[in-house]
Amino acid sequence: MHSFGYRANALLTFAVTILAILCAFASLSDNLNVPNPSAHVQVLSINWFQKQPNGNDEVSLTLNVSADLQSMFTWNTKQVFVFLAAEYETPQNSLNQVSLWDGIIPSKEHAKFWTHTANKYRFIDQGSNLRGKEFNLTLHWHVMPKTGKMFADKIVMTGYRLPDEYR
Amino acid sequence: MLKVSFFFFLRCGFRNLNQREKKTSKGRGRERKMGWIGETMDSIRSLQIRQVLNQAVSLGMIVTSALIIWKGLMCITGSESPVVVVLSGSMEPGFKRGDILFLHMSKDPIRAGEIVVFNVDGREIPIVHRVIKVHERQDTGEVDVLTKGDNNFGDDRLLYAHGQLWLQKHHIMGRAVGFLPYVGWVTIIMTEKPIIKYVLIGALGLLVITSKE
Amino acid sequence: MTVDDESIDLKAGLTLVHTVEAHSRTKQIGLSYTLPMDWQGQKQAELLMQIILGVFAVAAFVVGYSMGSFQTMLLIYAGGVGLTTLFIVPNWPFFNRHPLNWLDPVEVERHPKPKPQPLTSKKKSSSKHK
Repeated sequence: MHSFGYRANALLTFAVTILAILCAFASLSDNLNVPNPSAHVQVLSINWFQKQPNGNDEVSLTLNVSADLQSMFTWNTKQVFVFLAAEYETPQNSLNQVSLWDGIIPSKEHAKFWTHTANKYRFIDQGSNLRGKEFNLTLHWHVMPKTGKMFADKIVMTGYRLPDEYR
Repeated sequence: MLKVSFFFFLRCGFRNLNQREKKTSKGRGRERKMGWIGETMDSIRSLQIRQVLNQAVSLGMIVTSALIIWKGLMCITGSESPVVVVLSGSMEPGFKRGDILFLHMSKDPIRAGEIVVFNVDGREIPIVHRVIKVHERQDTGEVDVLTKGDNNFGDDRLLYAHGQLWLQKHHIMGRAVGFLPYVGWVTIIMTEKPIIKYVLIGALGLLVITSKE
Repeated sequence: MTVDDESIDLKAGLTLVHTVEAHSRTKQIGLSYTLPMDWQGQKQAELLMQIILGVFAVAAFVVGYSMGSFQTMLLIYAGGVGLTTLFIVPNWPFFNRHPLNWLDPVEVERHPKPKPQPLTSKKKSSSKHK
């Protein structure tokens, strides 16, 4: 350690290593957080429900989504990406997940929200199976940290059903 | 390019470790040199060759260990490319350009919301986007997947190959499970301004050859 | 990376040989080859670096976690790194409190070069010097 260069080099390496350890600890501290989120979704109306020329069913809905995700936020959270997916089963597919709406929650203050919106992404089936279909609406969230491990969870809301006939 | 910055970082750490050993052998070498001055020239030459070989072997060791760690990571995470750098702003504000993502590929089925890294046929640069639609077949378990960047307006069908509407599992290289901000800027700079890469490698080589420790 | 007591003597002996040679070549190369920080000082510097950074890291984590601010943690740690740089990198005189006295180059030429064997006795004499 007998010149500028060496000491600076040793210092830099050590400082960066310690920084990495700090970030790892910050990420680990997220596990101490116990979240208790809540959500409620209401299908206000079916705007239209048709069969496309290529044979796939498509439906357009208006939804009211309200949720409280404030407990998900920790000191190491950069944002929470939240989206609502319709999940259902068809004879051809064991699982279909179609995202209807998503949003980004940048901070804790915005985490308690409600939104009244038509579906942002088209709800199109692979085939023509949607008439009278029962489906779940699942609110998923992905917590994106400032540094470290990302984690995700969801709330499943059951009991929704599409109309039996095209409109 | 990530490998080069990885290797550079390792080299600095290694340099500190090897300091003492190199110095000891160097000291003894010089001792002998003093005793044999006035004798044959090629004993001095052989010692210099030995020093050069010593340096070359240490350098080789560093490169090899960087490679071992990289390949080891590939095995552990099950992904072709265990660490990727975010190159575009299509996932902002979550992932900015220059962030590093840690990938992991498991046998679990792809589900909506996951952030996946995939390769489109014909494009060499992998894309990091989020899955918004999943259709999984009953019988075969094959999936059709549609992705979209958080900051993009439309889905990724424009990015897929001509006529391709869905991604399949074999396109997907891994899921993002963790991330570190800003660390990937080194790689981006070296890729976009290759002159810096050459300067860096040249400087590194020069340092290794001329360093006395 | 740690400099421990046993290797200080070995390093001192080797560097004596190394430096004596360098002194005799100084005029040709034009380098100034003085040692601004002695062995004890280097050991102190390294220890100081580890302690200061460690303390700042722990303090940064605790304060940042309790305040719920990641930014605060990073700022405190950056302050610690800056402080450490100030203490460690420049050659402060308090690191040079145990200087080793090297022989003058002229002195060296007057005395014949020692054989490799008595290196151990030379080591002992330099450690007595301290």
